[in-house]
Amino acid sequence: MKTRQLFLLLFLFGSVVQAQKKLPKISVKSLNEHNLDLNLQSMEQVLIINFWATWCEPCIKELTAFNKNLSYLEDELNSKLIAISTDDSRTVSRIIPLVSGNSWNFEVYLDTNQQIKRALNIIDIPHTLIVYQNKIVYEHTGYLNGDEDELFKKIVEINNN
Amino acid sequence: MKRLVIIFVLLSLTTPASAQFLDDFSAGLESMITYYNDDEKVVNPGETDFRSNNYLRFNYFKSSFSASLQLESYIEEALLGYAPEFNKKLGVSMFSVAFTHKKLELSAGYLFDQFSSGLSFRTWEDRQLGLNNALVGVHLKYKVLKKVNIKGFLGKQKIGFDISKGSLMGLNAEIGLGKEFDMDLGIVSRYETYDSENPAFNEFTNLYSSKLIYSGKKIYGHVEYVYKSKDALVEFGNIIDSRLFSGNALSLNLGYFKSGFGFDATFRRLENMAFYTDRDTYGNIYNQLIVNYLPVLTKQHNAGLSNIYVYQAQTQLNFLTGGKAGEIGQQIDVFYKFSKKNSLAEKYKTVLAFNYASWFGLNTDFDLENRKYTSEFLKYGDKYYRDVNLELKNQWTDQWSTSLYWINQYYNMELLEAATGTVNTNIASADIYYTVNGKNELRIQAEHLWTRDDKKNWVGGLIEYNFLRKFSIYATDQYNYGNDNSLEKIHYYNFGGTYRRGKTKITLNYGRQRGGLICVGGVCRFVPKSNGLSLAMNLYL
Repeated sequence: MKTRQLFLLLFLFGSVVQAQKKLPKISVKSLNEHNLDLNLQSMEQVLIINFWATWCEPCIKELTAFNKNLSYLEDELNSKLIAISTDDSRTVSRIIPLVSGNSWNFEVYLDTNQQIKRALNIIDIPHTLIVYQNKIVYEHTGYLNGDEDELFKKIVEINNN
Repeated sequence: MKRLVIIFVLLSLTTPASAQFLDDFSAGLESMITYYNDDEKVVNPGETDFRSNNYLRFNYFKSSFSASLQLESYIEEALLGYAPEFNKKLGVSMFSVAFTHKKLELSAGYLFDQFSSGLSFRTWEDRQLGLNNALVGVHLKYKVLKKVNIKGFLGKQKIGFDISKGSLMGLNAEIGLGKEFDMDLGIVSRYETYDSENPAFNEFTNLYSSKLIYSGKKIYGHVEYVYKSKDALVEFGNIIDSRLFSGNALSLNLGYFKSGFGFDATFRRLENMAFYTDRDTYGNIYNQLIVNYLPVLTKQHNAGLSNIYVYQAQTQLNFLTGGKAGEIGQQIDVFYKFSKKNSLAEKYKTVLAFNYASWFGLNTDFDLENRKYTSEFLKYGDKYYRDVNLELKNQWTDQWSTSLYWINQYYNMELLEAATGTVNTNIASADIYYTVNGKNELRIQAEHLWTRDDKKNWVGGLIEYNFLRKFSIYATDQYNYGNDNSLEKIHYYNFGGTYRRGKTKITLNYGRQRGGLICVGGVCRFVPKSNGLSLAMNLYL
């Protein structure tokens, strides 16, 4: 009986059409304690928000690929990359040495108790969102070499509209 | 009734009139379903074959108002290794409402928060661990001055679908002291009634915390100290109120960084810091009603075989196993990217990561009969654990990349598991990624664990093929070929496939689960050896 209930729920869930979500009110804290208002920032330019952690291997691969294309993202696509670390206090102290050690040049923010991750209903990392004018335009979970090209295409599309 | 509510909510969302509402609304379903079946080598514990953990979360936002609701079901029982109180349950597990106005943030319901790094207070959810110690009450945050934030809370704590007997309250201040210094001060108080004849016993137990943080342009660090007031000793759920002990934690951190190089060192000492909302749940194996977060400070490894001998932070006061009162130790991390122009290391984008962690017991004298002990503050006791590891990453061409790992571990089974002996291991692992036709990716991982101790040598491997950016198929195996007991020479194989599109992810897997500890963020859950067919889904709205 309960099993049937579960499958009914799954079916209904799958049948609902995807809508373009609004970005909830979010302010993130940087490594040196200054705050960034994501809603305001997304009104000015296309925001790429990436959720990652120091212990997550695909996350590091994805951020390495983003860093390689950073000048293209910033100068040509006029977008801004924000990496939000979901590391909790076990691994939070590894963020600065890992980011510096990899010579990454984008901005890193903290979500130590996963409040933002939960507010956006994110289950797995790496998770990347494109937000423009407070609307979540694109979302993607996981990373394979080359996935970033699809993301870049999406930004070009937004810029052209 | 609950079923009708769910169906109504979902159906109402499919109508066009709700489009506006949908913009501010989101939902996520995480479902893990396993059908356990015995095979010739692995017999499943427990009588129920069909088990599932399902989490359905709804979030709603409208300008300064937000609300959430989470339903959970464990049908027919929770997956193996989860707390038995979840079994057969279905219903509302959490809800919350929050309101922000200028400098004020007010929330009520089931809430997550932490003070500073969590040594005195942290409520969080980790579904892999079956851990959800949400505060059930009210929470307030207020920006008093430009650089001064205060927050406070009052409530009870979630345990399964129930709430704690004891109550929690807390107050915390984050104070900015100029450009580079910050300070964090807090008090957390637990109140639980107990009829005691000991005049020194207090129904309130308080944690006082203070932290000074420095964030410079090249150097950063912190000093943190927490004091726990005297509380009764607890043994196997029995409260011994004639014996009262205080606790404390000291944490020191220092880091240096510049482009291409990062160094971080942490020293930490914990004494009698385990703290639960209900006294009689002290040390429970399902991590229920934890008040503070005392993570293990070692590297969280990815390689499967490195997670066989896992260290857990020693946080409890225990007279029975020879006496333990805490731990003392350190961890060092170094990251380095080779950047010398025209060198081979630079050409192949070489990044090196080194990590060292060693943990010891406190230097103590235990009097078992009278339940008394003394400890020395900065003296190291018996060695519990050591982990030295090196990681080398290269990008050879646009198609090829590799990661190589070497790990050396020392694990004191006698003191950590009340078993006999110690274990010394060497683990080597190689991970190779190859991109085919720009769209597909092949991953091969091979690893080996060498040890003359305990269960001897292991070998492991993984092969995974990702195609069309949507599908992946994989097969893995871990084999304890060195085991002296031929019945324990078991292939822990798994194979399956994953479909992912956007946020959606669906995985089907068949295989054997090696029994042991599943650890996330330094908190661990024991899972028994099992075999079965699993379906895992993340669906969104």
